Amino acid sequence: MLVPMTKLQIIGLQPDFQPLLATLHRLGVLELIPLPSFPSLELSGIRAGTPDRNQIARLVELSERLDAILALTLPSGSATTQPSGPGPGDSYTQAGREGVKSVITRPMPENQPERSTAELAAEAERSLAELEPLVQQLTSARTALEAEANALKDYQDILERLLPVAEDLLPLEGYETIALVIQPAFQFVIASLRDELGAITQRECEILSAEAPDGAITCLLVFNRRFSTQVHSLLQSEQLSEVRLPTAYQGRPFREILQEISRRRAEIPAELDAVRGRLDGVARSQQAQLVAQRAMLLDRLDELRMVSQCLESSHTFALAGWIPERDAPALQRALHAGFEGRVLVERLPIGRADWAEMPVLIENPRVVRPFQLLLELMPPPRYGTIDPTPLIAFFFPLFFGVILGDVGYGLLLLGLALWLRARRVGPAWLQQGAHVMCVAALAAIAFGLAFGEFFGDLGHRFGLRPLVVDRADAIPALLLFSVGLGVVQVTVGLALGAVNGYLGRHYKEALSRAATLLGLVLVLVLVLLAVVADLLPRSLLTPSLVLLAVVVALLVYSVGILGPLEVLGVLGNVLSYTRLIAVGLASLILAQVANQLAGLAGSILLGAIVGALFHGLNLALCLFSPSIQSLRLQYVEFFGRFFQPGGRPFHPFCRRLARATELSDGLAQAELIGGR
Amino acid sequence: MKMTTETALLALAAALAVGLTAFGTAYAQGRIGAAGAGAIAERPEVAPAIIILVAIPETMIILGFVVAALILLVQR
Repeated sequence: MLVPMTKLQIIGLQPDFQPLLATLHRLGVLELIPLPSFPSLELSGIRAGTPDRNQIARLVELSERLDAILALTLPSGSATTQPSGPGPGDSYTQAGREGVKSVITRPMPENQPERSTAELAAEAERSLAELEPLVQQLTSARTALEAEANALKDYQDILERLLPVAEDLLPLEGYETIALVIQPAFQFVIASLRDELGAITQRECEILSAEAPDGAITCLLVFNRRFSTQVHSLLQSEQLSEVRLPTAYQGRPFREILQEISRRRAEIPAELDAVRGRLDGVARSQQAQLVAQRAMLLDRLDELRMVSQCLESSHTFALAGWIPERDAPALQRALHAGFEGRVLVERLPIGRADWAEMPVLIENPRVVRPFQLLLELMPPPRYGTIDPTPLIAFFFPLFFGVILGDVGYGLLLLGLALWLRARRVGPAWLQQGAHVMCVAALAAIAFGLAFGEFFGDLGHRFGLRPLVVDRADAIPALLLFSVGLGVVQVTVGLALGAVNGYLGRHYKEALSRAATLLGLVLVLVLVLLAVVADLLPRSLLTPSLVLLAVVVALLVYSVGILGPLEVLGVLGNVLSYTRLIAVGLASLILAQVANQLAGLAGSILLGAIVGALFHGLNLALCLFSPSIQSLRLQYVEFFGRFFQPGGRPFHPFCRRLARATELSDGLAQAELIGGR
Repeated sequence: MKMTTETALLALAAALAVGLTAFGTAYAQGRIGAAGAGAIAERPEVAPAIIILVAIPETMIILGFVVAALILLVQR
């Protein structure tokens, strides 16, 4: 159901302004509404609140520096913290979140005074002054070692290619040697290079080349040192890059350099491990504190920025916000007690015009609550309309069960869902999904017993018989059954649409839904059954047709000239429910094919493997297809008749950290709270 | 089952009812799927909605199936 909301206005004295915002932030039950300022108010000295821009700038800078340090303390390649920002979606890394949780050792005293912005900033400055140089030094060392390891690997590759060429070369006094690596596609350059080099050095040169296993050509250019400048210019003009060895290795024999590089490469991993170990140590001991400090800074930033949504004069302030009606008395009592009667909290009258702006908070009983996950795929319903979650909780598993209708697959899905629930890990939506899947699997097992199916017709071989009907032999009856389900759900949808229209005072819409519903009933029950099936007295035909004409007139009045097409659309929707049987039959036939193929395999082992493969494929389809088809029936055929999207989710002004303090050993105690 | 011209025509009608609607569904799903893949690449959070959208044209083949079932079953 949609939780009833109310609007509160809070007026107080200027010295209590920031403490009150901090209290509201801590309580996290009020969504603040921006209060507009206008000229007549400003003439009387009341204006929009002015945030302290200097404090905001300082906190933003500190939180960004904390972000940078947190990103540096995470292992390379892992997710980094999100950029600092006041938005409700701002969150920490999983590592940071777990780190913060891991340092909670005891609850904070309730009467702990709020720290001032200056104190928060000073604490962050102290942490940064202590950690920034160390972390930057360690990360620089880590980066340098990683770069050196990569560079040495490249040098080693090149030198190993050059070695066969260079070993044939005798040391020549007054001659210079340059190494080049030329890719296979540019081999033609070597001939022209030889000509041009000969011309420049008056034939006092030599080019030695050898092909590497990857096809690249390694070249050594040997020439008289007198022509060094011209040769380097030539290489630049040809855009040939020389292999430049680090200074420490220059002028030494290649074999010696290679040995030196191998030795250094062997040393680097140990040095890198040592640096990473120190960084991990810093991360383990300090990350939780940094995450907590960052969260406190961002919380305080939220409070400072929120000032601009309020009105203030030199002596007073005023703010307003939405709150769930049931929480309003508790907030009133808390503020009255906390500020010793210095703030005035009053409810503002709400008209239907306010419904368009009212935030939406959906709450349901525990059994139904996980089905809200299915509603989250759509925009929330508008305030004042009907929450369809309980209806989805009934219809979704029912349709899933009708489509799947197999005890074996149902048991496997139930096992999977129970395993996911028992693990209690992963995001919240996964747990909710597992709950939904549990209920849907139970429905599949129930319909499986009704249809007598256990992995298709495998159960028949062990004596399992349908309790109600065999799907393969009763297709017409089951098609009628699915149409019946469609009539029920679409009828409920139309009735809810009429109620929604009435509640929202959209009387024409309510009338159109009611008329469509009446038309559907007339067409299906009276006209079709009376005339086609001869089940009702033919004398009812004339009054039915008269009523149908009235329905058409009502639809033309409420919807327009195309109104009568609504009834045809509804009939199309109802027929769409035959997919419940069609998709279910496809699944049944695939299971039967799996059983037949397994029987044809020739050996028990091969048969078991073939059967398991096909049933595995069918199980994957069974998880996907009935869910999609059932959801589609909810969203298109059912919701299309009554659901009014466009609601705005309720986002209370709420802290990232419920409580935060520092212990004597410098660790932050923090408890993360989730938003509603 | 004795095959007469009438039975053959009914079978052909049922096959056309399923085949043509399957072609229409496949064409629509292909277009929606291609557009949906582009949308998911830019905004991964719309993936569930796209999956539902891809399932929408299946009504055509379902109705084709119903018509084919009526053609084949009503004649018995």
